[in-house]
Amino acid sequence: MYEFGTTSEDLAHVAVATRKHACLNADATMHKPMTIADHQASRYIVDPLRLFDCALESDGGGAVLVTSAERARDFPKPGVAILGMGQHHPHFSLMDAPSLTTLGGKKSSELAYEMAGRSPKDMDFAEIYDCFTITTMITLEDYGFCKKGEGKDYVKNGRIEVGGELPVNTHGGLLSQAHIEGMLHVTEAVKQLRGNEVEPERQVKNAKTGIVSGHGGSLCMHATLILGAL
Amino acid sequence: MSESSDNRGRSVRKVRPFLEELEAKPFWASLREHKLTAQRCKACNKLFTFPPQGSCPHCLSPDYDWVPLSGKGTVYSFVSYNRAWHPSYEGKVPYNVSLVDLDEGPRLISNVIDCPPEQVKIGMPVEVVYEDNEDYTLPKFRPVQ
Repeated sequence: MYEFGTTSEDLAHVAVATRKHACLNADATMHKPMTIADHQASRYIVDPLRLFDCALESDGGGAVLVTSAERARDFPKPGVAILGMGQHHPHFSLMDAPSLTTLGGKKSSELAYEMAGRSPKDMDFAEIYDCFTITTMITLEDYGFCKKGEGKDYVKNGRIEVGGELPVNTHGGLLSQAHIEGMLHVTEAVKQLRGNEVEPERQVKNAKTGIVSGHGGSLCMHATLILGAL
Repeated sequence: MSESSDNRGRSVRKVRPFLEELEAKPFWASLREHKLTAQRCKACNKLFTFPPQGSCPHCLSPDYDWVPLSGKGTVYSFVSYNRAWHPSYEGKVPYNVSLVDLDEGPRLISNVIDCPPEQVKIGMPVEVVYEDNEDYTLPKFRPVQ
């Protein structure tokens, strides 16, 4: 925020877009619509992060079955292909983080894009580990959807909503669906790619390829998945 | 283990550092004498990053000694806690948590004290002050006078 002039109101756009998706998801915890003003009126938890910048605390679960493409064809529901994956863990403690604005997602996504033979422009949607609104913004930059520092403008004007250029967290994310350690980002991507498994209002049209992020530790661990419809 | 109370008057256990951790023992012992120290690699001569660790983060050599630091630094980044991280901190909100870049290089997470949280700024010069507790001493920072 210091480096790029990002404001609390910029972060609000991530919270509001994510909540919109949660409102369309019967399985989401938060169904009350949120406005930018609602976000700005929410109390600071750790300044500069407000209540609505923070993920929920949830109990729940999710699971995926990983098998060969050959066996997947025998299952009653269509499978989804793992096209690429990557991980990068640049540091151990926050005190030896090489940067606070570029995280493991940069290298991790580069590895995944290379394996998949795809680039950011090929992604139909993104399910981004959103422990805080700022994490979504930093990851979108690290993943190459916009330049470093431009995330604050990228997330505005409906771009990250269903129907926009890159729908992000179409289930409502950790911020508004539930904090199941990112597992539901994977299951949501699978559902989007299978089609006919989520409410039609939040189904990404012609979803063929999507990217998923996982993030953890003190900003130090990151993993990326690129999934494709079979 | 000392007791403290939260904002509803309930008794809560105070959190304290892991003083028993092998690599960190000399760090805590020096702080008791009001000296801030860091590990220095005998192979590549670079200072270790914090927290104290068993081998050099730069060249992986397990050979190191401890050297004194000036205790001077600048604020690299900071936040202000409006909600206590632990019930024993509830009486302290809002409090500052900063990443302090020490002049010698390593970065330390600490609190900037003796200064209202809203007056802490990135790049602000700070110096170490020692907060003595019953059986450990914490390095905290205050704006350079």
